[in-house]
Amino acid sequence: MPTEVQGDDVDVRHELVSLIPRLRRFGQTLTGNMQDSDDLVQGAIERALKNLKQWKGGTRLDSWMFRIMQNLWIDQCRANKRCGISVPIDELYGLSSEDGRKTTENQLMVRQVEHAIAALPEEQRSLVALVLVEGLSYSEASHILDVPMGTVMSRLARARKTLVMQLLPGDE
Amino acid sequence: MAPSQHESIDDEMLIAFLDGELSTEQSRRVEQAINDDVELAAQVERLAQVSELAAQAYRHVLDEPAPEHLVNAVWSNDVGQSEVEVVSLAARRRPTGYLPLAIAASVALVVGGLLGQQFANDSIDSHRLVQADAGVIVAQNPLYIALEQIPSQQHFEAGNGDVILPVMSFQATDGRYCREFEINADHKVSVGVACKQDGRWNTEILLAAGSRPVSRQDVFQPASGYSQTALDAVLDNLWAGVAYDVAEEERLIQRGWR
Repeated sequence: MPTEVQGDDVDVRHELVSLIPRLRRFGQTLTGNMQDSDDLVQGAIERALKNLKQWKGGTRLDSWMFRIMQNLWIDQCRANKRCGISVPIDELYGLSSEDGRKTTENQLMVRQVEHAIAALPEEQRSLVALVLVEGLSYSEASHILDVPMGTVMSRLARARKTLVMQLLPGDE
Repeated sequence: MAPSQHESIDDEMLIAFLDGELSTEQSRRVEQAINDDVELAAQVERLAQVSELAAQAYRHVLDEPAPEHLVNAVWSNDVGQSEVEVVSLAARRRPTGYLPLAIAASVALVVGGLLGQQFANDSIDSHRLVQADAGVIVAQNPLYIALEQIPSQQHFEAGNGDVILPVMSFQATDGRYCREFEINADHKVSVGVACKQDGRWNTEILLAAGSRPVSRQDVFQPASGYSQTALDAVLDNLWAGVAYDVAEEERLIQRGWR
């Protein structure tokens, strides 16, 4: 398939393919479920390809893609008049795993964490996704979301305070 | 949570500490506070624990093979017409090869220690800056020093707790050297773009971005107040899309942006 695509685009598209797992993870953190995430990733890929000339080689493709996904997601939120996200019920309660075996304690904890992240306000959740899950710096996150550093810090602090209350209730 | 005896160490500072986003001096202050205060240490532990849990969340997604329809989407030739403006904002990126912020901040601290002294009693008044001087940034202004000497993504501590962060540098479409910057002064954030012409830095735009929370009592901050559209309009006019990398920027700093 790569042979159909000409010129410099080939390298970028190879890089895009290798980014797909991270884009899907970012999408799942944002949307809470695989279906919405894959729709978002697909929409972002299409938008990126349409605007490939606006991306300059040598700069970070992952940040650019996160940015496009974030914008698409916000557009969808506005169109639907809601930014709530839906987490599948079995994922929510860890009632089953794909192969039907008993869900381990570890998997249960992971799902609790994912549920707690899903319950955060959208603007905090996107920062948790970028900084805590994807490991970007505050400054990178501030660029992707177009919010000042101070806002990045206050949102991250509030998000983590909420996560402490949700996930470590006995410790407070 | 029990009130801490270290009132100045709030949750924001603790998480910035955990994320490696503090300067060496600030980190040392937090470490000292943690050593002195059992409750603060417990809070750091809790925050570290949830950070680690969050880092593990959705990790299983990385192990899943990329779905075929997404791979096909990447190699599709049917991409349609390019959309003007859709991602012009997204194209704003840092130069590659930047220093990690914690290291950068410690470098900036040294510079700030030398240069910051003279501004100790002179907080940056960004409004005065543009109004009184018709956009010319006078050489006595800390912003002038920051634009002239501080690499992008490094904090410049300008005295009084004010911080200037040059965001990126670029050559404008008309040939001038320009820099995007962020100012954190007197608990207010401003963002702007300045360009150098005839040996002087002029602001192309300066926007108040809203208040910066100063304590943990502060309620959640809504989205910033400045008009991103206005900033983008200026950038879209001036900027061809390529930011200088660290090495190029260093050469320009050495040459005084000439």
